[in-house]
Amino acid sequence: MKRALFLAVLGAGLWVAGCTHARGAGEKGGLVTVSASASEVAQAFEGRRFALVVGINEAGDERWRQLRFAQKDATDLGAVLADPTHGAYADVTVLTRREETTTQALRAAVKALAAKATKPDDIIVLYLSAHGTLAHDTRGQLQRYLVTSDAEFHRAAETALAVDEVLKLVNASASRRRVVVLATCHSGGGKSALPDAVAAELASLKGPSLLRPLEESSRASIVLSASDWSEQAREDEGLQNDVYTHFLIEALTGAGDRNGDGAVSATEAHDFARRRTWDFSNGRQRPSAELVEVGADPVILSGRVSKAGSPELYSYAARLDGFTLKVDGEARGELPGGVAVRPGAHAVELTKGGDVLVREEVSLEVGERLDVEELLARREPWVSVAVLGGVYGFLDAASRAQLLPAAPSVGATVRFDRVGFRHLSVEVDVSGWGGSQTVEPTPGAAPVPFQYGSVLGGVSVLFRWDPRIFSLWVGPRVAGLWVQRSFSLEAYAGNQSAFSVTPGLLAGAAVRLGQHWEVSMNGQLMMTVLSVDGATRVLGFAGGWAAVGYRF
Amino acid sequence: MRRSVASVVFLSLAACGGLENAPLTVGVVQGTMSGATADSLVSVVGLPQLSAKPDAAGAFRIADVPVGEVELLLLVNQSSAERRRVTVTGGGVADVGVVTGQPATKLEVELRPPDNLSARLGTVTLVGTAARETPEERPGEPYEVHFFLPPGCYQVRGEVPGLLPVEEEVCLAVGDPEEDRHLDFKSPDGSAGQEGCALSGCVPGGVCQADGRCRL
Repeated sequence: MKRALFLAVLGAGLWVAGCTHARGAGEKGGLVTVSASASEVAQAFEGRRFALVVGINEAGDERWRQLRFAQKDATDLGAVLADPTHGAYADVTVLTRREETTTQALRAAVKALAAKATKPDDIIVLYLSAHGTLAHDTRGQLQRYLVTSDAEFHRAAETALAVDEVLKLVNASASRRRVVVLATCHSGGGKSALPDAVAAELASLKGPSLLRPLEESSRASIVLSASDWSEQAREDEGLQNDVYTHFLIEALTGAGDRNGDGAVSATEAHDFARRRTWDFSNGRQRPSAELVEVGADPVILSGRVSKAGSPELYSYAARLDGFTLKVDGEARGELPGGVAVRPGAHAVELTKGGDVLVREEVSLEVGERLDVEELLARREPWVSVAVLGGVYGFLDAASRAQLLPAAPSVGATVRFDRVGFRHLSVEVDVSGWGGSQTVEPTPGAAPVPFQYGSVLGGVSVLFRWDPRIFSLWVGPRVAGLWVQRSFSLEAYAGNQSAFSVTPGLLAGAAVRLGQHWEVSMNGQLMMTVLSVDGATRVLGFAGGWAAVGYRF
Repeated sequence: MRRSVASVVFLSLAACGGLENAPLTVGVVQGTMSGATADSLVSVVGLPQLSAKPDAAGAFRIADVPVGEVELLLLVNQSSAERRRVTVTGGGVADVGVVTGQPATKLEVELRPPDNLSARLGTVTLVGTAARETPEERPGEPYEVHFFLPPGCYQVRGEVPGLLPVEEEVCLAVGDPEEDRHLDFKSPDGSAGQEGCALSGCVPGGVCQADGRCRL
């Protein structure tokens, strides 16, 4: 310990000495002053922007009818991204020619795009406008494929480019700001065509469960799709583009800057294009976004952030799909998506039909973003009081035999959810029991009877997830364990007690039964220090309990 | 550094009090000897440190006897003795009741040092028990000790200062009235004398010489 203290003091001393020395004017190692404006410094640290834009009008097999605007989609989007007044992408690659859009060429191009980004803040955008199709891969699973210029209709799995593969290649990039835009579909209509067997299989489905969600392949990238999985992506003669792409380009040219901060983020652009596509197609085409942590999306597709934006209300939670977001009594749009509002106090409502899911007064400042799902969470019970019954015991058989056998316990817990953070809970528990037990201090000898009492109380800080009606949690726990043994034997009578602070881990799960009740299970693993016959022993201690709780 | 970190972690595990299992690993053996004398003795076989002499009423008590089955050697008087097995429980009392003993065999052990050396400082013990006797010195008489033992086998060990100890196994059968044994001692280097008499002395009438031998 003394050594660690000495090293800390020595290190601090050297650091101070080093800093003092570096300040000496004109000496080697001194700081050099350079002239740079704040905006220049900010620009130097800003990530670079790279884009690969692909449009394939003509597939390798004529059974995929020729698309009219895929190449134009790519050319138009590439121009907006490269435009210094909009996308300002320094590196935009547009691939439209037949030899550039073969499966092998595209695979290489996507790899090259991923390799261009060398920093997490670098932005890479991959846009693909082409036919889509479905086929069974080598494991027999139905997969999405992009129809390349050399893809064969009945050998799509072998000759086309799997969407999963594309996402894996993109996710291998050093960039943490990745956007994949799929202006295609896989439904068998619109910009897709399917072999009869696959189409029949698809028609027999009642839901989309046969296809893995794209997010399983792309936890780290934002994937924007021109249509939901079972819908058709469309081209339009009047717009002279793929419908979704048309509105995406419109968003990038400034219309999508919802909060007026000077930049159009990926989600702003998608929300804009999504709503316009929905309206334009009279609800027949619903572009989807499959992304993680979209609320904190920092991926700028166009422009630069020049000022703090207007406050925004948004949600991309699946459970709020189709809810109408009302601000100050005015319907501002359907979820998923977001809206910008004026700074100040607002009455926010989530409604569906005539039902009002939540109505809350919120005060928002410039630049603030509020996930309206949090408003729901605020209304949910956040305190749970439960009675529990369980069992505790030492992990090793020798301690159970010689010190205290596994013992039942009853008690109570109080859990506080959303403590400062949506997924954080704090749980306080206390339990105990008493009764008769026997131990065998000498293996093989006759058991020795005694009376005992035990109390276990702890505090846990838990990270919690709430999928559907379930809650799962895990986190560190500190507990106090008090044990007393009372012997009343012919040759020995006495009370022994021990107290130990025991750090450990708590994990549990609960099923919510309606608004207020829950049934939960907890398991804990602890390390306890006990003095036994004057010697200190570090022992593993474990327990589990079941509880019935009331939430309010 | 690692040790320092480990120490900090360890110290953070505050603990107080403690559990004691030691009192639960031993018990008490008690009983009463009928016909006990001043020479009576109870010894736990194999644990010579655990023994007791009965009080005037013949009652005895031995504490801290390890749990499990132990054997007691009960030397009541010159005519009766007994070996008895008893089970000791943790923190419990094993009461052997009133012990009258069985007919004892007299074991007479003669200590025979070489070259007129004295055995008056010698001892004879029954190995693994607290039974121990020292011979009396009488002019012209051999150095003898007596034990009154129950049937069974015993390892007899004789010791005389300056001489090599001698051990011999003796087995006593039921009904044997007496058993005689001689323990012949030798000096450590195999020859008689040397510094022997300086440690053990000489038989009555003998004079200890500078070379350690006794001259009559």
